Amino acid sequence: MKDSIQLTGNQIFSSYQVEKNLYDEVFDQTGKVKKYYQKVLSLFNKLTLQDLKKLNEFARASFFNQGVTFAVYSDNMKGVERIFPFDLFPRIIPLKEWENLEKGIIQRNRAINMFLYDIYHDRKVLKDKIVPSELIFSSNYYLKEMIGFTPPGKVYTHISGTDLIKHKDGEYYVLEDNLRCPSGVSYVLSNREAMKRTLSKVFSSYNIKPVHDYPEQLLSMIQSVAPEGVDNPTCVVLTPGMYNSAYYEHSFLAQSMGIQLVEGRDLYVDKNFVYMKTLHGSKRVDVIYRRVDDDFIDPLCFRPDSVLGVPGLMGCYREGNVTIINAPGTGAVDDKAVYTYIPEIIKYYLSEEPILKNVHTYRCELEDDLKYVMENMEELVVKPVDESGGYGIFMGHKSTAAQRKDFQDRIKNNPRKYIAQPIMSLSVHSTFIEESEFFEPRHIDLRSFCLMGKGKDFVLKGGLSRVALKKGSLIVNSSQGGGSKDTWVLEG
Amino acid sequence: MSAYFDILYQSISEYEYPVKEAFFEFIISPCECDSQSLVEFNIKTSTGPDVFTTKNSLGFNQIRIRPAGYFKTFKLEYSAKVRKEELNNIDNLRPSAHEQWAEINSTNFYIENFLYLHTSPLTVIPKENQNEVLIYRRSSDLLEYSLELNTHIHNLLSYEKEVTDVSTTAADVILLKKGVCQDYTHLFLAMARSNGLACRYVSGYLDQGSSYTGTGGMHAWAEVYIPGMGWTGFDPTNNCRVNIQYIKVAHGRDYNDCSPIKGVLLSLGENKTYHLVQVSQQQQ
Repeated sequence: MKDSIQLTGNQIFSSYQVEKNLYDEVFDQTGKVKKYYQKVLSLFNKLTLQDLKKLNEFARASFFNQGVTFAVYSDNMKGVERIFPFDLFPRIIPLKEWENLEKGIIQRNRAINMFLYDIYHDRKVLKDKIVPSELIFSSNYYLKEMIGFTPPGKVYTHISGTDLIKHKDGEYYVLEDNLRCPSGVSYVLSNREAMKRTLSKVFSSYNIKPVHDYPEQLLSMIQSVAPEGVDNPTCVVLTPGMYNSAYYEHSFLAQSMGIQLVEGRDLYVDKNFVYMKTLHGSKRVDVIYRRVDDDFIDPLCFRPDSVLGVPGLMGCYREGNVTIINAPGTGAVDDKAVYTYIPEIIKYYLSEEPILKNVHTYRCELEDDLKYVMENMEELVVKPVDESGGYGIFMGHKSTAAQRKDFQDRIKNNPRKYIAQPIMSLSVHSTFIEESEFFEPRHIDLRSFCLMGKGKDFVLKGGLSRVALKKGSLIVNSSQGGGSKDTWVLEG
Repeated sequence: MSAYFDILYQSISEYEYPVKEAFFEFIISPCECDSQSLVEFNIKTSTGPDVFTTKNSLGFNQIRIRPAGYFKTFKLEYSAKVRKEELNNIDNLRPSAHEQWAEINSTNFYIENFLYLHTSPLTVIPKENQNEVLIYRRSSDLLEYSLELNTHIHNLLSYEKEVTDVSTTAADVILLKKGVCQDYTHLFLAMARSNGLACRYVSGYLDQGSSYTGTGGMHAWAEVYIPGMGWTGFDPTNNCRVNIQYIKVAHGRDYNDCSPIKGVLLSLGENKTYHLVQVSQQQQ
């Protein structure tokens, strides 16, 4: 029995295998191309290998010229600036499918904001035992400084990034909610730019939903949550500085919104207001889109050794004189253990069925779940609940006996720290692989970007499709060798 | 019966080199609560009239100052008049020990008071030193237990200045067996919390006409939640219950929530800070 199908007749697709037990975004199980990919595939089919290599060079030059880089943190490559690998074959999501995703993302984030308001006020959801209170109170990201405080419009997660995957059943699943000023949106815009520069003709024959209005939408959301009574707010992007891995994005967003990019040392507090030092004297600041973690935003309130923040900022915030985006304390909800309760949270606040599915999650702190995890290590992915960027993840199906033993010990020592999930088979997508000089299937996910302001919900039509470039790998994070694709939401 | 107290508070900081930029937060003014009100409050600083207040996250006054221009000395002074009411004797209103524990072990009580039930960095005692802590629960009535704990800590420690500082934890104190009022209080909180009680750190002033220990500067004591009585003050430094001579400024999980001065400054060299506190009861 063959479990894959060989495509024929296409030059650079000649070694492409459609795996039967995976969901291929481009081809169906019989190897036939899906309708909405036909035009783009026929274009690639006309290209010779030399053409494609040339186009790849164009795309790469486009990123260089745009200055799009990121830094990697790992033991032997400290802070090296790199270009995010980009694949020319776009990921296409039909509009109908997208509309459902968009509804689901907004539903999820509305519920998350109501949940945040509740855990910082009456805590009804805890008293009603929908979510265990210990889970919230033991979180390092649950801030007592936010208790009883209501941010403008009751919005906490102004900017969120919901990570989605398509499983082999063809359904989307949410993998995680990123609620602490997630990064990546600048890549969405620069990917589109690179595509336009490289394959300009394709764009005229497709009705692709635009993404270029994102900075405009972001600015109008930021302005919508300005303090009460401020008509023409001064807004800034607060960055930890040029050594931060996402510094490119901070400067890109500030520039494309036409607002100041500042560091902590450019701001100060006086008379319960925040001011910015400028060449023309001081200027009051009304809204701060900060890309500095909670712990570092105010040394008088949180980490006293922080030089990245503004001393006294939290006092101005509590007085309602400045708005901080995202609100401090949202990290209590993007904890991977709280993730498992999101379907219940949606039902509790909205009385609606969740539109988007959650991956089944085993919580190691629960006795039965712990037992299951211990006995089925090979079938599971085990993750620490409080780390981002794909660090410290255990992949059961690729583990050695020694690794399993090591992780079992780690879990036993601190069960609260770990959750486990069945290994989701992320969908695959044709991706040009330089080493083999052929298109090959690679696993992808989708980070979507959602904005919430006062009376304003917006989901960027597209998002960042991340690709695990290593054959068979399921880890798509840029810090772990992932690349990305332009993502088209397509009408018709 | 009410009483009036006059408070004079001075804080003087001297810097070796001129300070270019600074920002200070003070939590030093008497708070308004059930048995206490602020009749008069006047504050001035050496660097100008700009003094702003805000409430910290637990609702206590925070005085915030950004001194203008360069300075080598910073002086803050306030005078206040506080009216205190005699605490009602409601000890007998508390329910049975069984009912008291049922209330403080309930989920809703935990959800409302988790801040004061959880140990905090300064009130945590590692497992190997907990024996003494956990054994110590002779009485199950919370008032009686708190009084016993108060006396136990008072006898366990000896009062000695300059052997501890603001970063000293309850775990250090239990080994050191000496310290000042905040150390007594942290140990009280650590032991009470590890026995499941809700309790909080209180900063404030003591009437200097009394014979208590700790009247020279700001004082610290503990409050325990006792069903039927509410938050009830105990002073392990003086082995007594809190009375009309205790003037409260703020409460929190531990010293870090109540520290009288916090600041960030751009300066070089050494600096020294002096405090002067005068508290006297007005003669009627």
